[in-house]
Amino acid sequence: MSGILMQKNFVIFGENPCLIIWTVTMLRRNRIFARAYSEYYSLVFSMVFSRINNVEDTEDICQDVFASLYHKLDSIVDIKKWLYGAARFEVMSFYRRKRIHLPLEEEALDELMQYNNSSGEVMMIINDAIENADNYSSDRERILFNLIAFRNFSYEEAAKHTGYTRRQARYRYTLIVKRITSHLAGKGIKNLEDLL
Amino acid sequence: MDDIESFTRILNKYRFVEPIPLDVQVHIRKIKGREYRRILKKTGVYSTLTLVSLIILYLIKKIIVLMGYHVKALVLIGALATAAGGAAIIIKCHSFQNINRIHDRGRSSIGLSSSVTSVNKNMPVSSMKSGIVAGPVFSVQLFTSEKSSSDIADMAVKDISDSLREAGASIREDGLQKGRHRPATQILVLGSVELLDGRYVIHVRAVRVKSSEIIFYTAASIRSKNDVPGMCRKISRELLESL
Repeated sequence: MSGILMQKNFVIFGENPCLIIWTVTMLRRNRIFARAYSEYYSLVFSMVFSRINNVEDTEDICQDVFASLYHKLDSIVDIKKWLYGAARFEVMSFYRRKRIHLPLEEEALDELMQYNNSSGEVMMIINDAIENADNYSSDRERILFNLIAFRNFSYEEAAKHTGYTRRQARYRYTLIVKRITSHLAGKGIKNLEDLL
Repeated sequence: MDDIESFTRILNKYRFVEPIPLDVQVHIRKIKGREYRRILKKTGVYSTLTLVSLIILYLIKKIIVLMGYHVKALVLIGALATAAGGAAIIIKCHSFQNINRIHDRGRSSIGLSSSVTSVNKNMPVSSMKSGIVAGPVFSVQLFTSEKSSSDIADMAVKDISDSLREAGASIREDGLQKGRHRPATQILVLGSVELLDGRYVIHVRAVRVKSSEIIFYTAASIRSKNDVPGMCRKISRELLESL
């Protein structure tokens, strides 16, 4: 059976060399997509869920986001940024469809306005320290940090989502926090408790 | 207060944290695979082959990560040994089939000569159990009949089987499939009995299983049950001669 298939493919490919290119492209695309899905699904789901608070709707939105990622994969430079943008857009569309008057950007602005200017500056410094790429040795570490720090994942769950053991997850998270603390120290914040 | 605790408090204070409940955390992990398949279906690239290859890759990845170097080496050796063993078995079976095919071809070209029949006569019954059979393997199926002639049909089946066996042919009593100690049926004997104008008409035909070719057909009429054994012996002889 496989022999016949190989022979058939050989004949087809022999007649149409474009098919080889097409097949290679498809395989490459599938590989990249599978990796992106494996790495970012938990993050995207968490982000959407924290805004919608409904598991089924979140699943639908994530499906749409990743399906459109698959179709646009060739033209996307930074997959993570694109996913965040697309997820945000889908959440807005969801609220629009449901006719829920909750403009997220305004809500975020209101929240931000509760803080005075100095708090805003501190937030920016912390955000800058967290986003600094030097703090992470890989994307997987960044995802691990995001899950534990921002989504309150337990070490065990975060480890299962990112493919680490619980011990590795704990160790790596501690290292990242130390790096961020050092970064903040470089900006003049020697003692974290000063920010509390 | 250690760095981790201080850092967590800072993140909470400046509202960086958007916590996800534990049950949702577990749910995300559980649905990840299912959702992946759904997304692929949505994009139109999903197929059973994709799924199977993904599962295999996933399992291999998981197993390799969990294994130590010694175990990896042992598994590799085991896999190689299994592959070599499998290849040897396949080659052996293939050559055995070829021998059978050559044997069949030879017989069909020269017919079942009396010498072959005589060899079959001397063949021990235990040779059937070992699965190595020199002559064609017959299987006599139940003859179709009306209720009034069902006893004649049963007698005919039994007598034809006995006659063929006496003539040295190998008979399979059960199904057609090849088993460990059962060679595959090569010739199927079918028939029917009907009552016409007070006489029983027995139709017998032999079919080659591989090609579905009817290689023998005959019809004979008898008056009573007493004529069945004699007629069946005659039909069996004709059948063997026709081969």
